[in-house]
Amino acid sequence: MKKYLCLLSFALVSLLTGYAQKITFSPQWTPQSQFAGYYAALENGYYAEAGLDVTIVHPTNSYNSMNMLTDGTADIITCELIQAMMTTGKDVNLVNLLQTTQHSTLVLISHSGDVRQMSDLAGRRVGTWKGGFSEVPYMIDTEEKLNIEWIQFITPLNIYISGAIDAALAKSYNELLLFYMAGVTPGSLLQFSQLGYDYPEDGLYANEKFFKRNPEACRKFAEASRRGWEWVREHRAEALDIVMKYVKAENVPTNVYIQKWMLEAILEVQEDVKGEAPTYTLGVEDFDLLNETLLKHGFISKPVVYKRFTGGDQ
Amino acid sequence: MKLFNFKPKRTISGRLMTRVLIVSAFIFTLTFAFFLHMSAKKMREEAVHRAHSELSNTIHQIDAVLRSVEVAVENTAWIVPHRLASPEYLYDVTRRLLQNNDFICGCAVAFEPNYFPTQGHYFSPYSYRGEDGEIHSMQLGTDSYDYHHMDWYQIPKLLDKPYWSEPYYDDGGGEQMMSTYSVPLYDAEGRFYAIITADLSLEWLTELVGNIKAFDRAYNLMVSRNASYIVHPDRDLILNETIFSSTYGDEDESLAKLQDDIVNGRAGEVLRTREDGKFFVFYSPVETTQWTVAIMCPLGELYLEAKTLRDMLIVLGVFALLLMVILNHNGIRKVVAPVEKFAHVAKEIANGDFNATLPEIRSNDELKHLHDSFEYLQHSLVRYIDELQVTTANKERIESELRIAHGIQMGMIPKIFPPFPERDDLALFAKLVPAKEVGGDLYDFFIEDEKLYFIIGDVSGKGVPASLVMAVTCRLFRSVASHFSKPEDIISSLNDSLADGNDSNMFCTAFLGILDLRTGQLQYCNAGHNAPLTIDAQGHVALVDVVPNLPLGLFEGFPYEGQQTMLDKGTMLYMFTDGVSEAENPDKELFGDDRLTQLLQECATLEPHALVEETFAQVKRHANGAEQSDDITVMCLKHC
Repeated sequence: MKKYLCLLSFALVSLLTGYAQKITFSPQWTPQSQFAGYYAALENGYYAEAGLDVTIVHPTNSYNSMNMLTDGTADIITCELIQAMMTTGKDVNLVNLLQTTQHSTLVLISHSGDVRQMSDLAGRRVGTWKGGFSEVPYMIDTEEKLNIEWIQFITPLNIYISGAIDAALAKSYNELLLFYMAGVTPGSLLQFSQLGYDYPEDGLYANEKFFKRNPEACRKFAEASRRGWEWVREHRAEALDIVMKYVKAENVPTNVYIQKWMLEAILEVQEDVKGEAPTYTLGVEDFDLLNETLLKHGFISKPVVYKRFTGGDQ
Repeated sequence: MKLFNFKPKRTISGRLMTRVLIVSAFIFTLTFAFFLHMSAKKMREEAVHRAHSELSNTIHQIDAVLRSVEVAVENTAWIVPHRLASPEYLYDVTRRLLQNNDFICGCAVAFEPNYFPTQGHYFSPYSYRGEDGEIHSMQLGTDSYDYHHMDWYQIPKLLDKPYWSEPYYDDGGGEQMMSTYSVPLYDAEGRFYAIITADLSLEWLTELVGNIKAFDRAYNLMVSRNASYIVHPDRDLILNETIFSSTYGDEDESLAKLQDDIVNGRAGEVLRTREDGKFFVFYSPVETTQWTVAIMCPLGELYLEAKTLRDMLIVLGVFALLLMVILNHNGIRKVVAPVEKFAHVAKEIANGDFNATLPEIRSNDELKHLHDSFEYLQHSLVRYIDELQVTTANKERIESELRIAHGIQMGMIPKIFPPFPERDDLALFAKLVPAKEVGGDLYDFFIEDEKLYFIIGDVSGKGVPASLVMAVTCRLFRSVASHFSKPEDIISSLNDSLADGNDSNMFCTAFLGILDLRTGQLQYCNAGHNAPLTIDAQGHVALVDVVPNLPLGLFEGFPYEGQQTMLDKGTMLYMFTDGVSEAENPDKELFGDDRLTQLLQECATLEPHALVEETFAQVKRHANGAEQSDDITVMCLKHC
């Protein structure tokens, strides 16, 4: 009832002022618990309360959220920090509005039980996403001259089960759960966070041009999104219902069990320190370290400036 | 309140019946349980056999369809190399495969990127059956349908062998759940250049698997190699959930076995416990694809016949027990009825009717034994009572005679004290208490010619024989004493008389004295008796010097030695039998000579009468209730 009263009051304010900032938001994948905070912010009217008219558009296999941001289809997207830093200065400049996850969720699952480090897979076939997310393994491969044969996939489960590849990259909150629920027991499981590559991942980004034109709207979007995530943390069962509503609307082949475990995993990596409340900010130390690593391996040609990257010069 | 104290009458027949009922029920239960266990085991084996038989039939049918697809693709693949010169003819190849094989709903020949420079990055001629039933053709690959990274293309390419893709909803092509059979194609140099595929709709699988009817209430399902449901009664689960989705995080042995078997394409069966009950899962893999067909059978369904059998056996068992109770009730009552009659007879016998009539027993068993025992008891009781009456009469007669003998014995010794009330120069008191009705102690005295003749003695043994010797000794003392002037002569005479014909070797100790009341001269002779004591006027107690000699009656003609002394005025002569010094208390402690001497010292001022009574009083206190074992006699005289 309270929610509807808020929506009603906002609608009246909007009518009186005659203006609601339109924003198209695109998360980096099809509906799943990874984006629960944004769905909750929309469903609970947090965006509307902030004077925003938000539309969520999901990407497809061949037309991802970065494509949308680049061509202007989307104003704000989610993507990983590495991807955002690599894109900035090339196709489009990005501004980090909110850093949602603080740790790496990248893992490597292999049939062999003897894989303790990447070098154990030298010369072998390793599956990786066609859409990216594999910069760190690529760096290790290049640096250690492992000559890994990278096999790009859209989803890793069947190609791994068939035995066509020796190992596959996966996200601990997503593909790894799919492996487990398919009855697969990993021979070995490498966690990159424990190999010295614990970089922050998911964040909320705006096209810099859009940000400069609409700094207040971006700030409000980030704040409402943060409210959404905080609500999810306190209302996990209800948040799961919202996620499943979006899942069904997009006819995504998944189920409530995967989404439940994914939500728990995502909320855990949002915490800087386990058990403490998330800060939702991009740490300068993490940023500088990644900047240095990307420069060293040639993924970027010049350093990304933290202040500009986080919209601090506006 | 009485209601609460009411206890139903318990009968042997009731107890017997209860025990038989309990034992029978126990045996019935054990037998039924074993029978049910074996039946259930057999039923389970049959169910496993039936389930796997049904699964095997279904899997054969699935394999047959899949193999026909494989044959169709292989029969078409050889044409592809001959059409490479004109890529547009490849559409005809795909169309022809569909025309020749009704069960195939789509066919593509998908080429490597830029294989035909004129055709671009994606070139994949594709034909499919439309909703109108007509065959349509199109080029499948686009930026939004990047088939080069699809499982059906990439996996056979990497594996270098044909591959059945896991079922999927192909929203880029056939737009239905299907599986694609893909065969990699290689040029003359062995380089991979394309994949030829055939799409198979899986709708028929739902019907085929759903029609397995191994059990009435079971349902069937099918999962792919990645455990996703391909067939399930709840269609929402198909390709959305896996068989392990809802149990993720659980640690369960049966789940682990199921997981291992499905991933590795093995047949088997496990018992699963879910929120909605226990299920027996029978499963077997399709050989071609390693998809798994499973029958989920509620456990109750598996043992339905066992449950019916169990219910029947319970009813039968209860009925059998009831029948047994009814049929045996009267029989057992009849068998144990005499026991109650025996109880009545026992009561009558207890009331004195030894000839009460016993129940008639015709059987030759324990009851007959009981009957004979009762009969013997009756006869024994009658005989015993008769004997008891005789014995009691004899005992009463003997006791009467002994009472008379006691009177006679007591009449033989002086019992009037003071015996010489007219004399003031002599105080004398004596007391004899026999241990039984009659005893062997004796004392006697008389005065003749101003001389006091006195004797105290103790016959060996107790009872009637001793009392007879005592009587003879007393009588001899009376008749002999006055004829002799010396005590040793009197003693010798007594000895000779008693020794004569003494076949039973009884003897008598004695102390005999003659006190001249005028002079105080005391002549005495001791025959094996305790030495007397003297208590003078000053209270000094002293043993009288005596020659022991032998008791009377042992050796005829024994030369007894007499002695003499002066008994001063005021001096008491204290004589006693060993019944005093040897009186025992419950701890078998003797009264003793020392205690007697101390008594006399403490009571030296008393007169003979009081001194004797005090002696008896102290002996009684010492005995402290212990039975008197010997006759006790004390005689005390004082020359005044």
